[in-house]
Amino acid sequence: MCYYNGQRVTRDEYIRLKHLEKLVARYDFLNRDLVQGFDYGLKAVCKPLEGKEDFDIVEMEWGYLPDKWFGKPIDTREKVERFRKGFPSLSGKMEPGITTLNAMAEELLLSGKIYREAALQRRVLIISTGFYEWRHIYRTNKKTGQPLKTPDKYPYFITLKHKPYFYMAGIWKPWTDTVTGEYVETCAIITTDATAHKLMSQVHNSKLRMPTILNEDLAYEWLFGNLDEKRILEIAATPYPAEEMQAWSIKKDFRQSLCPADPFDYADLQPLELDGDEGTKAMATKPHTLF
Amino acid sequence: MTRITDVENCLSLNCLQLLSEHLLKMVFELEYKGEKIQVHRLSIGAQVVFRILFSDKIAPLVITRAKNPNASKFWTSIPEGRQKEAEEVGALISEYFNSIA
Repeated sequence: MCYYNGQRVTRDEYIRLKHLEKLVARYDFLNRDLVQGFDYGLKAVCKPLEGKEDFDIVEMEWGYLPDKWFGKPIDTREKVERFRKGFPSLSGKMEPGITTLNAMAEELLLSGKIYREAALQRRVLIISTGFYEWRHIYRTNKKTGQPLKTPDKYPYFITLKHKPYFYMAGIWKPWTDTVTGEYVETCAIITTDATAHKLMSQVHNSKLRMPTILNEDLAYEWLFGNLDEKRILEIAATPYPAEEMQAWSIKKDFRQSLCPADPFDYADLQPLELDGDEGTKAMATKPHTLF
Repeated sequence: MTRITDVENCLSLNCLQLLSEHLLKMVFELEYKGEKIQVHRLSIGAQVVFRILFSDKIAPLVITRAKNPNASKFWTSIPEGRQKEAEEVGALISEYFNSIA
């Protein structure tokens, strides 16, 4: 007979609890407040358990890795670096890297796209407490009266009202380094058109894109539903209602801040144009981290 | 121990309900020793654990339900070392689930 925490348990139960300890110890990543895309860091993700309507929360590397690129395998970390950050070609010209942090909903299922198989078979939910986007403001040239070519950029924190965290639609793929044996699961966030979105069209006004944020019903369907292609595209393209979202400006050096989502006002920045002051009221307190 | 059975049903509940009633059940607040605590339900390795955040400087606590040799269940901390808190907070969680079941 074994004892766990002074309580008698069977040997099987003891082994289960000890194993659970190891799993729990790996979950400190949920404390993180800021995940930066181009660091290709780890994100908290709900991954469905096979054959069950249940999920595990796991960490995945943000930045979807396909098996191949232009017919060549991406099977070592060195090749991943080249794929993501670019590399000098034989002619000396720099070949740009490929960004796979986000997958556009409109292109998700196109034939030949790297995301198609995952969208059909490996859908996940990315857990988020909020995200960051840059608003571009073009000042006017005093002499010509024309807008300057280079915008001033202001970062915003965007989150949902009254929700400590929420789900973004995502897809994932396993990846193994064939040299070291390293295994990771990589993911991409689905994005949708924000042209007609009252809040995001003003905040992310340079690209007019936003993550596909799912309400609880759609999140369930995305994770567990037996979806046909039409439904996958419908859910992937769903914009979250602007009136249920909020955004506020933050410090330009927010990435180095201990509290990156803290509101920061800029004297020269016009407020967002929304109905009343809905959507722009900064929360008085720091938003929740996930755990 | 009907009440405990109710709790077990809640703990093993499929995630349909947990997702659709998501914020109510995945994250909720309770009062412990006169202070608010935040409780997060997690599924880790297909096993349910609860992570508890305290409002003061007490370190977060992870607890789960374990089985004794008689097959009856008890709350315990993961890792070992905080059994008393596990039982106290666990009882509050049981009460919470029973109240909304």
